[in-house]
Amino acid sequence: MGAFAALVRMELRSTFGWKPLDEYRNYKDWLRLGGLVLLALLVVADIGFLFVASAVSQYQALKGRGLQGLLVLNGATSASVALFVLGFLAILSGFSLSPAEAQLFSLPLGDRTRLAARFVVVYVSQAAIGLFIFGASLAVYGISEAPPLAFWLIGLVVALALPLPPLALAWTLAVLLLSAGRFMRSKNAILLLSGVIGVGFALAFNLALQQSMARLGDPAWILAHYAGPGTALNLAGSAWPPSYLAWKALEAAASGRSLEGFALAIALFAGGLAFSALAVPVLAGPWKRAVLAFGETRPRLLGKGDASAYIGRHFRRRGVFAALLLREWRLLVREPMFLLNGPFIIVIMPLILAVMYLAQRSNLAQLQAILAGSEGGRYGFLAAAGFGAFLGSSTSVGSTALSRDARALGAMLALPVGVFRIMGAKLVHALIWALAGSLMGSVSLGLFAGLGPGSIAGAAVVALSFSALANLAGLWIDTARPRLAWDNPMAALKQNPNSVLLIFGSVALLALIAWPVTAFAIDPGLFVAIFALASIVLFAAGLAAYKGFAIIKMRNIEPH
Amino acid sequence: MFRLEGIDKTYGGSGKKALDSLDLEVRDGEIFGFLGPNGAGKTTAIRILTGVLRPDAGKVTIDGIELARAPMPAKARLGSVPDNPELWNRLKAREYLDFMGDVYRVPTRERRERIATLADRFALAEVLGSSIGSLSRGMKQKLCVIGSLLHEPANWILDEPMVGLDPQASFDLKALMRQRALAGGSVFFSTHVLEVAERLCDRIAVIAAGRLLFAGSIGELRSLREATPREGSLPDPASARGGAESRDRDSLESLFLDLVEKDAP
Repeated sequence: MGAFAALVRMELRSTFGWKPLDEYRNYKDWLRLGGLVLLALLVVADIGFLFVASAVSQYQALKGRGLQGLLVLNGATSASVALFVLGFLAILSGFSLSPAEAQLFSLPLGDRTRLAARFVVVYVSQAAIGLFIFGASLAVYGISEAPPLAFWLIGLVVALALPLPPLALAWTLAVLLLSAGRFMRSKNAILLLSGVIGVGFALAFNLALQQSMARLGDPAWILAHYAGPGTALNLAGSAWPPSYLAWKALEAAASGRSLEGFALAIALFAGGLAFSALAVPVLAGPWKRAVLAFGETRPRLLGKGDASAYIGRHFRRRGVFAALLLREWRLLVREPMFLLNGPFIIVIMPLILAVMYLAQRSNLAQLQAILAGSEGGRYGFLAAAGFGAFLGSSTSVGSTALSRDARALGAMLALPVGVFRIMGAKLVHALIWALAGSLMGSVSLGLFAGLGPGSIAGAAVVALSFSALANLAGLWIDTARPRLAWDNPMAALKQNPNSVLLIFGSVALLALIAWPVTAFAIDPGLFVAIFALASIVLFAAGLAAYKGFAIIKMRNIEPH
Repeated sequence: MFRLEGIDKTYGGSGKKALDSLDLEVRDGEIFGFLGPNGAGKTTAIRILTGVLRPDAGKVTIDGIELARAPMPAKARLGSVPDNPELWNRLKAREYLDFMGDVYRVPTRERRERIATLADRFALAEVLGSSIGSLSRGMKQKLCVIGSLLHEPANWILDEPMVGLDPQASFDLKALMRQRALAGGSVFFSTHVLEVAERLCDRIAVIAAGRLLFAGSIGELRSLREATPREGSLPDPASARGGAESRDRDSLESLFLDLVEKDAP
């Protein structure tokens, strides 16, 4: 195997955690693979449905004017925009100077070879996304127009070629940005920038999708606002050569001019490849310099003679539990990976709902009326309590508490502090975030549903009661099966099965609890009282049982 | 003073003993070096001694307090420096020291005095307001050393403490170790740097494959070798050259290699 192929193989394995099928040795490996495939299928089916529904409505609107070929142009342009943004984020997230990365620079591999391998790795993930987005338009157009078989082959070539130019541009922008100044060459700055772009893109995408979904049956609106000639999407597509070539190639293929279609598709592929091949040698030098300078930090020095004043000002004794709690808080809020993949849900979910509200105000007004008016606002109360409970239990703070601490676990266990006190600080920390989530969810949805202060307070009590139990359960699960070995903080939190288990478990339980309230028309006030009382009893019993469990479990734990 | 008696430890799922009936006693007023090849079980022994790991059998006693029966008072009499100082990168240096002070219940006044003295000694005073992540490995190591001494522990345990330290810091650390031993405390450290152990330690222990091969002074180790010369051992290059160089044959390095080699399967 050549050096480039070996490098690509190694990068693919370390990026995606991929391993060849012959390395799947036991049923657990296969079970995990099966679960991942199932999850991927669910996600593809779920999001794919939205893309296909949008493509179908566009097709119908355009077909009325004989312009259905524009669907391919729109699909190619949407995919290009998404690939540029998502590719840029993927490229940024790959910038770091880990010991492994530093060692690769010491090997006899050219900078161009290294960057080309990185390009391939980003391409692999983005090509799948491109195929997915563009594939929806391609499939709707192809199935509706019943073109010759060559159409599908040409479509595949086009779909594989489309990511190349936007990714070359994204690489150029990323390298320029990281070469611009020291400020950008830090993990925090990258996470901040990625977070802002990611959230902005997700909200904009959500807004566009919600708006188009609300007008699926309105061809005139679709033509005028985003699918027809003269719209921003269409003009951008005509001005972006890859989209234009994709459109012309597939239109030719659909009309039976397969040779012309192939020629255009090959031209698109060759052009994209040439553009990328040109970008790699140009960017290789600056990329290497940016990576090698990545993460350079200097301590902030106190002035001469300031140290003793600093010591007098800042060092003071506090209680052991307060110290443990403060440590939990600082380690979470200062690790962007933890914050963005955990408690950030408290902010992002209400934002997404606000976008939905803006996009579908007319449709949601009906729902708002139902929530506020029906059965004395019972549904509104339940929705507010449910949303608060969901946000309070989905922060992943409790269900990853021990996993997040894996690296420092040995040092913590050497301290003269009881296990239950350490775990208690973790629980209280999780409950603080649960309170924030419960309040945010109950108040925001309560206001949307037009509930009064009393009902909102009641909903918040239910939400907090549920979240407290959920976080205790999460801590229990993470104590039983912590993820003690990880290289990337994301693995401790977002890729932690405990976190996924708790979020899905909470949602299922919420549905189960909501059912009797609606089915038996239980009064909200009575429900609050029963639920809060039951939760307090369950929490106290759970905590007492957890204490013994945690002590035994931690006694036998083997920190890495 | 502390004692490990009959310590056995097998890591879950491995089936191989990491420690096999380990007996060790470290007395007050001495510096004790813990030596052994990679994977010998040094860190495992230290983790058991500091209460991080639970042994399968045997007991640990710290100043007469049995660790398993009264872990909190026993641990409070230890100060430990872990082998990896990269644990607290998201905290500031002062936050870490304050945390250690809180956990060991060090009153504010004593805390400030000790931090001022130790930070000055290790040239860390200027970076107390900095994030630990921005410090070099050596600075992090020095910070861990300061954190371990805030409560003036009677027993000081250090796992590979010289790694990453510059010559000045290494010198200061050795001086501090001696100072603490002279004041009546016990100092126990693991190391691969045999020259340091030879010059600094009052007694040493050599461990390989989880078993204690030797515990005593370097003089006792020399006498042991004289008494039991190994047949068929590799010729010692120093002694083969003879003359002044033959004294290298008595170096700790030579003694250590002989001992470990003899025990190798």
